[in-house]
Amino acid sequence: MSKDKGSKFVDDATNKFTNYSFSDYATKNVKCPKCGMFNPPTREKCKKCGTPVPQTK
Amino acid sequence: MEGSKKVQWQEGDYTVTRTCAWTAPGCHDGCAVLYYTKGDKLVKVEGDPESKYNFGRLCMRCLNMPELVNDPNRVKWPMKRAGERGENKWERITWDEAYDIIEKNVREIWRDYGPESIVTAIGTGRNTWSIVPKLTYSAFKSPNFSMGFLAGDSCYLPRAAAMGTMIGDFFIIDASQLDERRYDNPEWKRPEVVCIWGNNPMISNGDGFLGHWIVDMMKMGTKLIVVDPYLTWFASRADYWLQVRPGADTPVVLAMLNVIIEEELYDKEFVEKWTYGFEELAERCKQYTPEKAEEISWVPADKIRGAARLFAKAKPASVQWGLAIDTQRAGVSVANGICALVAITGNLDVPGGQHIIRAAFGVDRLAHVSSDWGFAELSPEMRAKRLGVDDYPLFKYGLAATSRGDSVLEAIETGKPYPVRMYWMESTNTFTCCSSESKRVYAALKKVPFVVNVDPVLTPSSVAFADLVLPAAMSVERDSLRNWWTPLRSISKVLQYEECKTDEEIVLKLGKRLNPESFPWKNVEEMIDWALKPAGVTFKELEEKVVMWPEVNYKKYERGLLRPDGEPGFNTDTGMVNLYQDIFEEWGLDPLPDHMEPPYSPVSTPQLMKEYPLILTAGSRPWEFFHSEHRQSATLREFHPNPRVTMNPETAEKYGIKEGDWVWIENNLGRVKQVAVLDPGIDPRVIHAEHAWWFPEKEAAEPTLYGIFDSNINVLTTQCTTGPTGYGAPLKNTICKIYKAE
Repeated sequence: MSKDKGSKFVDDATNKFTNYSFSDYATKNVKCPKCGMFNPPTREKCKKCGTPVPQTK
Repeated sequence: MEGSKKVQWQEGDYTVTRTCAWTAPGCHDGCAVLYYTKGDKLVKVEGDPESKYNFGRLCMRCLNMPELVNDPNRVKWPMKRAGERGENKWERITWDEAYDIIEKNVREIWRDYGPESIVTAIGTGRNTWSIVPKLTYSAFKSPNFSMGFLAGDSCYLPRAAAMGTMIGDFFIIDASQLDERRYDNPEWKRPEVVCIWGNNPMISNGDGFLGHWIVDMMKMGTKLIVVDPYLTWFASRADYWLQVRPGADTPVVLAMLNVIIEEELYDKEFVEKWTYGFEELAERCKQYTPEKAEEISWVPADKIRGAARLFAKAKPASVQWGLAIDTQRAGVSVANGICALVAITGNLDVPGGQHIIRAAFGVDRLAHVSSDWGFAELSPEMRAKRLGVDDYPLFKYGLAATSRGDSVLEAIETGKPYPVRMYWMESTNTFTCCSSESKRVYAALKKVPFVVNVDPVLTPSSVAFADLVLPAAMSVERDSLRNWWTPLRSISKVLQYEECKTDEEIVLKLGKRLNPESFPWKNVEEMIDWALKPAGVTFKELEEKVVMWPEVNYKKYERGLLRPDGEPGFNTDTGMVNLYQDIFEEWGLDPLPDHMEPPYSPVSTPQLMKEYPLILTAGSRPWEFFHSEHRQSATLREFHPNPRVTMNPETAEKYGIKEGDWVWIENNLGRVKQVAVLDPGIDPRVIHAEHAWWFPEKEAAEPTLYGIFDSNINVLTTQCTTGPTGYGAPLKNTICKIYKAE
């Protein structure tokens, strides 16, 4: 599996739409330093383990 | 093609070509073949004995390909309707005349109604999955690409949607097909158990999956669990056959999860590290004890327990799933439940488990399952006009960019939210095959002012609706790719039949007329070369190799190989496998899997069951036909001359029916007739009817229309009765009565 070849290749913003559909969410969400769960930037604590997550502007 | 490097040699009078076959005619696979040609005729097809995909095997449909390719009744050149729709009167025209007519209609619709009033439709498992979206979005500038009128888009899309939001990627059973060494790949492990759910993979090969591989693994010791209302060949050899009531699969999977969680048979490390929402899932599963599941699904509780334990203790185990999951209102729920089963038992992306799969070498254009090629070229306003997405937000986030078939039907019927002025059918015979309420769809399509059908043969859909019929090339007449999933394969053109053109040629030509900036390629070869760039080869170089195998990686989530940010985890919003789906909650949907009764069932409509006392399931695949294809083959019809309705001998006796009798199958929507087959492998409360029947030997013109309504079981199934996600419809679980046809 070559993860780069596919994503480099897709034209314009197509990868933001359907294939691998949560890419947009995934890149905006913030990673919990303890369990690795990605949380919406609005959350102060991790949904999974309750650890405070870094706040982004 | 000039300077072709396709692999060919001479054997006596025959020229032999090594390549891959897809469609048309076809299926969901892409087996390696040897074409034997003499002059300009295809004489024989054999499975390529050197292939690591099908190992020389080939089904009767492909072996019989010469009969279909050489059929003198194929559509030979573009034809324009000469009489009224349904009269079957045609005038031969040139390709340029055909393109002129199409261009004129498209430009008028753009001007008077907007591009969104153009809808395209394809059949299943085709090369067309990527190229027709490109036609729709880039050439027609419309957001409406569809799978015809398939209710609930009940063919893989519910499963794709479930995988998309829950795991972020497609998965496929790992039967060692990912590596050229196949069963000798030292990294691969043979699944100790394969659970076949709603699928008969020997006959109905899934997307890029060959049922023979399960037989190979059985010979090596793999055990089976089969969930199916019918005693298939695999079910008869399974350790557990769970004979489920059609449309009641969710309770079975939730009860299996219940057992696995209660008995702590799940993979605790994986659950802790890589899933979100386990506690909530466990709470939901408490409602579904095996006894409760037995009440709903008819599957004995002890069998559910036994199957759950067998699956959970096997390392590895995997699931081969099928269309029957999609064809229920709870299709997304069933799929979510099965995804959870795979995940919590630690079988996700491990050798011999459920492999997370993308297109080989990242080549996800031209002939791949992706349906979004060109979608980004549309403005946000135009994308938002895609039919169905306003009411069903999951359609915006699934792994497919289709318009919702039920919503297209409603738009044609009501003119809302806007009228449909043009309908483009590419290798689909939609109201004969996948559409439910066939007569309703027939009436609707008659209302669309301009209809084009691209097909190798004249079908009921062409005769009833088409203003233009364009002759589609078959697989042996096509230069293309097979990149759905892996390995990457070339499809080489060997013959030219009359004036037929490939889907790629037609789309490129129209694209250059209507929106040349989006179609910069001089010819199809250039377009294929562009699509192949990620693989680092040209089409000619691929032809020379025939097949290219990408590197296989397991546990990609541990190494940051799934997410665009390169972080470990899954390509979901949480980076986890979403056992509980926050996004569903946001959309007002149940964030956990749950059972939904079919709209017509012993529970939903007990009163109606007095008149229609049997459960009707339909659409399992025969050896001889792929959906509505192959009916014109005299050889295959010799094996299978008429549509068959299978029933338990006890049921037959009750209704005075004998083997071979013509039987009326009837419910509140209509009746059709098929020939009775008596088989104790089906529950006496259920009958199974075949789908997609039409009779090319009957009169083409209306009202006969190739006998389209005589035996078409989808006269009896319903449109617009999906579950709350918009995906999944009861195509295989409605009700009926039967009686002998005099």
